[in-house]
Amino acid sequence: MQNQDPVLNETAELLGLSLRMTEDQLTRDMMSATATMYNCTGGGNGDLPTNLSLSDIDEVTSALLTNDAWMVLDTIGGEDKFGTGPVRDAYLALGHTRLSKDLNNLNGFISKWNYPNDNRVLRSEWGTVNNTRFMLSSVGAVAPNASALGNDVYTIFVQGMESLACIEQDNYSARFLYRPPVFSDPLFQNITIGYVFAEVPRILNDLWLTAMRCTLN
Amino acid sequence: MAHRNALHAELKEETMVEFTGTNQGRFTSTGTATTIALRSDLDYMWVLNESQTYQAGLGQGVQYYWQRGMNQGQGVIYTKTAVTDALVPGQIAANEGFYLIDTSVNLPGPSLALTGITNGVPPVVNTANTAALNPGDIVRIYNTVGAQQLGGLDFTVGTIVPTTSFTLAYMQGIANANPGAGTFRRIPYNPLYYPTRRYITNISQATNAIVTLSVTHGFTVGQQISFVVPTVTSLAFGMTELDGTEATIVAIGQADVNGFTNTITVDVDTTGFTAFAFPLTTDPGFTPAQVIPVGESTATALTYGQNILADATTNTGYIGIQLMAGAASPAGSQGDVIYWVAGKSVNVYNV
Repeated sequence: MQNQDPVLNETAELLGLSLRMTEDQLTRDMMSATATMYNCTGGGNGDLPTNLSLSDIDEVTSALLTNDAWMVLDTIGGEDKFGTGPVRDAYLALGHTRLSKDLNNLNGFISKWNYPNDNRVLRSEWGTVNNTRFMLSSVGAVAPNASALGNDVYTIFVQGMESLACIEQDNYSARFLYRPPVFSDPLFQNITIGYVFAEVPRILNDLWLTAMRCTLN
Repeated sequence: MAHRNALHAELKEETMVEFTGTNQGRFTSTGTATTIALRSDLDYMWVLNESQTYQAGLGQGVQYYWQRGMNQGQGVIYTKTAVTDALVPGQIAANEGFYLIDTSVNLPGPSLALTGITNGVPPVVNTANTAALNPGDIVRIYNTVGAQQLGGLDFTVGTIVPTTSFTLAYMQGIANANPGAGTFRRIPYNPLYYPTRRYITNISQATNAIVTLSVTHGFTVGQQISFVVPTVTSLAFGMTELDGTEATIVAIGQADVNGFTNTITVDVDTTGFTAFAFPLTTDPGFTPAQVIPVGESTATALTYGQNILADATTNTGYIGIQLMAGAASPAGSQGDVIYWVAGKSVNVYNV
């Protein structure tokens, strides 16, 4: 058991990553099940929903504005730097990383590289379109074979401030559990390590969150 | 070691242990596949068909065994010989044995061909590929030549005529039938969380509107919902007065104009509203009309003796095992009493 500490440290790092990704996935699945759904129709790929388009993003933004949803992210003011432009205050949009190519080709898309201030960029951010800033993740929502033509459908959760919450059930969201070998067997050979959740994701106001569904171009 | 000792002290009172033992139980077969949820997971399972065991020499499967590593959908069958009652082991036929279930895996079934969708009430999907379907299953229609307004939508399966057709149980008649080929998939899962959004197939014009939903809904009286009824054309979806409004469910299961009972009745008077109209196959792509669960009316729930927390967001996921039904399958035939033991091993060494 001389090397237990390094092993424990490495395992703890991996489990920590697993814990937070699981939390993301549960929140994603909750939104997939219950949020108001919008099918993109402004793209040109002939499917339903279509690929992402500027008109669809503006439509969802307009609906959230009309429902009095507050923007989550503040304006980034313009600065005197080549190749940059100001960024509007924005709703938060969470999507899958496979949407990155379609976003790059979208009319009006501004990459985070073109933001005037690097300090205001979020780590998972890909860029912005008008009043929506896109965060991409490999655990973003995908519904296999769910379009009218049988293609995968990607759901982008466009949300206003305080549209959802993760509620802690027992004064904690998740707990990391380590049991040393003394508990396992007479020869103290095995440790166990894992985590448990005690939280529930919940939409607080359905008017402030839209599940925007699209296919790829 | 100081930090580790501190961690030991902090966790000393924890009681979680890794489960290595057995679960057991009993059920009476309904003649359909039976799913047993086992949060502790399982590595092996014995099944005993008590009813058939006590019958004299029938040549029928009476014991079944599955262990992690065996083919999905199969396992071992012990068939009682007709003459001596001795048990003869063999392999369960494909797709007639044990299936491990993990509801967090949301993969649709294989793409299956359909040859047409009628404009009857409910619409009938003509297909020879009915073997994998049971009444109550969910199917998704897509890539059809006509009836394109059904593309990408999920429906509960109604009546099945083997190798011939099945009905879309809660769908009203469509204006134009599908004249040709198309495809569908079985969707062997529901969304992970309850209550879930459902698509609307019809809304009545009544003092208390009856809303028909395409897939079995699971709502209860007292729950509050909001409507999404988009404007697709000048006709569809028609009853756009409801778009964005909230309502409380005051009854469930009331028959709609077509006799469908997968319905919710709400406290909204729609008698003066425009008639609901499902889009046509020639209409542009649209966002479906939806019912969104948003909360609970405590007063209504109490009035009707319902749980005031019925709207709580609930993770319905589970792991477990599905036993297929039939004379040579572990869930047996209708009326058979089935005993089972499922175990979880300390280690599994499949090499």
